Amino acid sequence: MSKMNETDLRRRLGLLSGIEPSPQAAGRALDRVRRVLSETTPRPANRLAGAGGMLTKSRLAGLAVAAAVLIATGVFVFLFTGSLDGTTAAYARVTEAVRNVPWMRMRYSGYSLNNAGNRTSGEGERDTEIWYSFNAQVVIYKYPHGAIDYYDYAKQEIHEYNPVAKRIVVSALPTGRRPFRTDSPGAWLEKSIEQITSGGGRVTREAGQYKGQETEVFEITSAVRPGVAAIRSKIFVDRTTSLPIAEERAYINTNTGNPQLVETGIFDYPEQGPADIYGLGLSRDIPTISSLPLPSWSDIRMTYEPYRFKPLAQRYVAVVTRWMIGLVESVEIFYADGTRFREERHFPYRGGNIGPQWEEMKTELGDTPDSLLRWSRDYKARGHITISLWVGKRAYHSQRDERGSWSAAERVVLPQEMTEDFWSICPIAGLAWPDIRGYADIIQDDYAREHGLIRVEGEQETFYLNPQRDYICQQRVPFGRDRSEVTEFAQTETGRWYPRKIDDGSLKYTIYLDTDPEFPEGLFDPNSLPKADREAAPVP
Amino acid sequence: MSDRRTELLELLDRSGASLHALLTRLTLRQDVAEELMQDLFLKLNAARDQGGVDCWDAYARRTAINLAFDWRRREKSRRSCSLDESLELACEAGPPLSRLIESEELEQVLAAIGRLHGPSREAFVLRYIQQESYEDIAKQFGKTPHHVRALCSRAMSALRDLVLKDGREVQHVEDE
Repeated sequence: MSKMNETDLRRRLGLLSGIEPSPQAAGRALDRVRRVLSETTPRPANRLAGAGGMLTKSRLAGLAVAAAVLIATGVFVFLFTGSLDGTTAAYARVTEAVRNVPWMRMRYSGYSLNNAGNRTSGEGERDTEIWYSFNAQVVIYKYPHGAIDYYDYAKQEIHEYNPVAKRIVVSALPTGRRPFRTDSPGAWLEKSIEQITSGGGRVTREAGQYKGQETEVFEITSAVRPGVAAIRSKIFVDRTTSLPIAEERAYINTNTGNPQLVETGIFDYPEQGPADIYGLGLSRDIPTISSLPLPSWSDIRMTYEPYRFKPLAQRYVAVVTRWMIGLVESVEIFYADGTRFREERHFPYRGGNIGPQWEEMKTELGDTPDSLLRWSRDYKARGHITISLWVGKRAYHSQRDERGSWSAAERVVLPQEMTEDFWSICPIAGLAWPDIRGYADIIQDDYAREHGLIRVEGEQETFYLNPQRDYICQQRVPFGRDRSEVTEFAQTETGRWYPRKIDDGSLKYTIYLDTDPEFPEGLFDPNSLPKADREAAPVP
Repeated sequence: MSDRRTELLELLDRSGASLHALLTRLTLRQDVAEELMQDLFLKLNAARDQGGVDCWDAYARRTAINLAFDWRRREKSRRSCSLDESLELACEAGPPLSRLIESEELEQVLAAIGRLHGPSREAFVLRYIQQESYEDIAKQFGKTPHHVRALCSRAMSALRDLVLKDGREVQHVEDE
């Protein structure tokens, strides 16, 4: 060990502070935590619901928007279903009244609650403002943290304000993805009604008051579906104008029966609305960037995200070698056979001086998938080895230390089977389709245009997605750091693309994939895991 | 989605990358940092049940620091240096051998930091490894910036003694 002086000490502290894990490692670690969290607490009914939620910038803001959609449409449901006693005329009046106003503005505020009934959100954190104009064919959402989405259905464009990057991006508005159609208010209503009624529900109507004003009160209760918050909504309609004036809404946790989100909406009908997105209070100095004719990142994300969670095959063996400074640093192997999974991580070297070990290890490893698999199955690594096995809801973990001692297999009972989650922990998923979090926009540059790529500018990184190859992130550029690039692609027999080689400067990855593998006997049998010292009893 | 999971996912989105970087800096091992990230959030999940945590970000950082140094203590007896320690450093990248030597030196500093005590160690890590301002650390600690400055100064002094002493001892052994 070297002698250290004050300067050395401070220099080394500087080096420590400058260490950054690779984006792949960080992404993998974060994905793993997400998976663990999903195993330790109730899982959402549909994983892709999160991707849909991104449309509204946040899940919580999404609830508010969903609420607004419901208020704007919920009262009309029964006009079309005609299922209520003698109220069709009343709904027709409301519909007609809303159609005839130049603008409708909805301002929602609310708060979330934990299971103990305590508020978990601060003042203003739920405030959402929504504008509609049937005549101008404009819909605007203004979110609590400053983001604004301005839908211009006449021009088929969406103008999005990104409050982090402080820019407005104009994108194409694809049909069928948004909650509203553009051709006519009638079509808009029809589509929204489909959304509301698809899950069932119940409505009552009665005379009432709202803050001293005579109203008709429509009480809407959504159908109870496991894992989905039930909605109880009261909509107050002015008896004179037939215009909705307010809504009180609660989202009920179906597990506990307690409200988890309470919102109040106030509606008014100004003569004039915002002429453009700047009319929502944005400075004219904020630049507008066009990504036309591409759609927005919110829309592209809906295509991109499923690849992250959709395995390349039901049965496969994936071997991922990670290289650093010309040495294989780790070998990871993922076996999937329907609902049985096995993950192995092999670290080739013992601690200490690596040099001589590499020369020997290079020969033992070989450079083909077969040689790597043989090497792994003979447990020839000199560093740590970890093996995890998932069979149904049971997980088994075993590890070997540098001295060659295997631990006793640890057994864990999971609340859910691994199923598609296994794919998300396989490095291929994270390397090819990294998690793009936070605010992001499509901002093309010459490189993207020349190579047919889609450039996604995020908060910390820029990603170039290849739409010709299953939206694989072909290049990834963390701000201020080396870029990571897919240098070779491969394709499965069913046509799915995946990266074959990735170079991120300091680390290089090679991926071998076999989607028609023959598994060795006992590969998924917990009793075939290496035995710990003095362990004799079979794993239960 | 449960509130707890939402809270933890929000914490993960907000601070996950930073916590992972912190764990990587303190362990010099990406694979270990990944393991400890999982442990960290399991602990946070459990702590959430028990209540009594005012600031989750600060609590998560403190727990991460403790986990990393606990791991270092466990590994101390058989750990020296592995390939993972040749992480991409912000400094100029030299040849492999010099980078490995450098990693060994970083180990020495981290071992010494591990010998500091609770708040002093935490403040020191936040200031000198996470490069946070005294003001930000003070907010997390509920103390004044002046107090944190003093805490870090004392920690630096103690660290200096530890590493210089270690260096002399090792040098002495090498001389023999």
